[in-house]
Amino acid sequence: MNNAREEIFNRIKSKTRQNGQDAASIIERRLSAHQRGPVPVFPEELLERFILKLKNVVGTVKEISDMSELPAAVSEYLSSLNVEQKIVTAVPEIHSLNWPADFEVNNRAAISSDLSSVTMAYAAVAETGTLVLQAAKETPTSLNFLPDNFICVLKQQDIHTSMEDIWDAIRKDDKGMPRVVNFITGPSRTADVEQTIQLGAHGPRYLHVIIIRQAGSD
Amino acid sequence: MKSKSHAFKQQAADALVNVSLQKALLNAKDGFIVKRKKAMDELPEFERLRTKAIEIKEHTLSHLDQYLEYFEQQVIKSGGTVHWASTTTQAQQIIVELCKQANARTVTKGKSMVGEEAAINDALEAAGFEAIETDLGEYIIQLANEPPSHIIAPAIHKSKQEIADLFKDHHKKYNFNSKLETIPEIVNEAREVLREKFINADVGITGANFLVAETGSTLIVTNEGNGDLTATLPKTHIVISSIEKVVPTLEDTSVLLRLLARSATGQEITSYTTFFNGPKRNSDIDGPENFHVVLLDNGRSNMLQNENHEMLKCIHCGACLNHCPVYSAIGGHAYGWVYPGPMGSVLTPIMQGLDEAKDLPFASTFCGRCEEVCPLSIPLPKLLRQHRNHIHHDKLNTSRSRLGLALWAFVASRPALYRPLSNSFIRALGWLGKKSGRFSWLPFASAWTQSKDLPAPAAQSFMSAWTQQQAKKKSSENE
Ligand code: SF4
Repeated sequence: MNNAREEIFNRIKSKTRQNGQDAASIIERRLSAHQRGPVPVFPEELLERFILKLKNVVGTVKEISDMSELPAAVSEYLSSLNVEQKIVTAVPEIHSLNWPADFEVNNRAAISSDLSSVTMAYAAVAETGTLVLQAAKETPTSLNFLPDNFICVLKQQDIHTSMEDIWDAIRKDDKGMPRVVNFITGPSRTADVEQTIQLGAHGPRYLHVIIIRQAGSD
Repeated sequence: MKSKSHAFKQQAADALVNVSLQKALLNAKDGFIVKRKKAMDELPEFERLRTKAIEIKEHTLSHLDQYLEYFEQQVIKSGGTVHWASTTTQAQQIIVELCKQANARTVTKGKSMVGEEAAINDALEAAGFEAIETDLGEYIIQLANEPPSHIIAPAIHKSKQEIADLFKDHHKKYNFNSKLETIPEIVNEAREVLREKFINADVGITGANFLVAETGSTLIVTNEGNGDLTATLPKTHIVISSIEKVVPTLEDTSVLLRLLARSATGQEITSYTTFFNGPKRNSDIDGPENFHVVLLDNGRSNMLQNENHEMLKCIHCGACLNHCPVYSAIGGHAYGWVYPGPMGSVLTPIMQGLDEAKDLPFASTFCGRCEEVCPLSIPLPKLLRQHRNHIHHDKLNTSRSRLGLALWAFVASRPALYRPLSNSFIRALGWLGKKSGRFSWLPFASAWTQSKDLPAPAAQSFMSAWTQQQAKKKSSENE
């Protein structure tokens, strides 16, 4: 092993102007204050804004009023893409739903032959039309990236204003930082060939968000 | 890669007459500029965000050791390991060793400029591993065996046809034989070829746009999703990054992210922004079993004490490249190493030595656009000027080219002066630049006449150099 760590820290210490003790309390304060920078404001309601921004990045949306409507919504979407009635999911709340007899639901992480996945968003950011997903047993990360058609269920009450709200929500959960936090804004894209945008580079070609409206909202 | 920055003059001259490159540059430049402008116009908070971003970076750099230590502790808590590399050779050794430990054969890579800086691919290949770039742009230049020509769009210099030809040659072995004509066909074929690599890789290497001290997170921003597949599917995830990328909190990261995507591609946020925190946990059903972070110094810690520390605020957005008249005229390869454009002209002489890269600080018209668009307001022209001063001081430059360059900068930064210049003055410039070919740049003046006329800092050295040169010229004529 090299002693690079020591060398690097010595070089930094000899060059920065801070004196030890004081500095320790300065960084501790900074780390615990979670002070926000300027957060852009927008005039729309959260749901409206989320949908507006999602559509801007070529995501599609379907609103339903209850989880029980999900199988029909997923089936309809897959039909519209002209692909097989088959999904992979790991969300218990989803695979335990009443799926049609000829609909195949696999309960696991994604493999490369999976065409369509359904998973559940942890939250969403209205500012940018962004889905937030956490790696967990029920929401393995491969579901978000391997299949061509990525269907994500989002509860209306989980739409927040900004990324900063997500940090507060994660802290409130008090389970530490999840292993992976994905902020997903639209399907996969590339502009690496002559600066021309092409969807479906390596990740999903399509992103479809099914929003479960909050009871009581119109 | 080995630096070719010493050959800048010749490379720049070649670039100017490379027709397909000129076409590609023209196509790319306006796209970036227009998209960024639109994004900024829609962000009234831009100046406030910029002020905050500068504060975040200044603060972090002045407590860099403590934040790095805190970051390391958090990575360890989440089950990962941090490795430290003073030099690029050390970084190579660490990564090769980690790949050996993982019994790897195939290594997939997400885009990482620090990875380019440390020439990780060369080291992996020399050690017998198959290393595959998975960002489409990086993949294209890997097939072409070329360095990136832009820090966020590595294959920006390649035309559709050139890419189709490369795929034809290199994808034969995978039984892809169809003639590719459209962009969707090209992207699809790359998707299919690289899918196999993602699935079979033993190690995935990604970069990091930021490191979050508070949580020990490394994060990447991508549009393709290749970085996420690289990090998720193999058994081992290695992150290669550099020490200045650490920021204190998640909130600080959000500030920088708002500036990064808009400055880079004009997007409000990229398709994917992902925070990684250690290896697979007990309950996880996918994800890597091993998580390593390799942090490279490579001269950065030495930049802390002097004016160059400004450059450590760089978030690698590429805006200074896109708005630079010199970059727009010659593209990235002429600069000869991994970082081109104004940020590269500052960084390369620091990392490769002033002697190796002595022409780069002169590859500027001092139009000031780079500093103006830089989301961290890094005073790039001032830093370039300082390099020039050191070069003059160390006498690394010949007096003839010194004068030529000073003149060129003087004239170039004064479009009002340039346009009505008399033929004889142009001829004089031509004479001065004859050896270097440098004044073949003058026809590209239109790029900077469109930008603001800023005070030319080279004026003083121009005046004194001019007088000196006149005296010299006389004496040489008399010889
Ligand atoms: S110097 Fe500024 S504009 Fe250039 S890449 Fe760095 S942050 Fe972006």
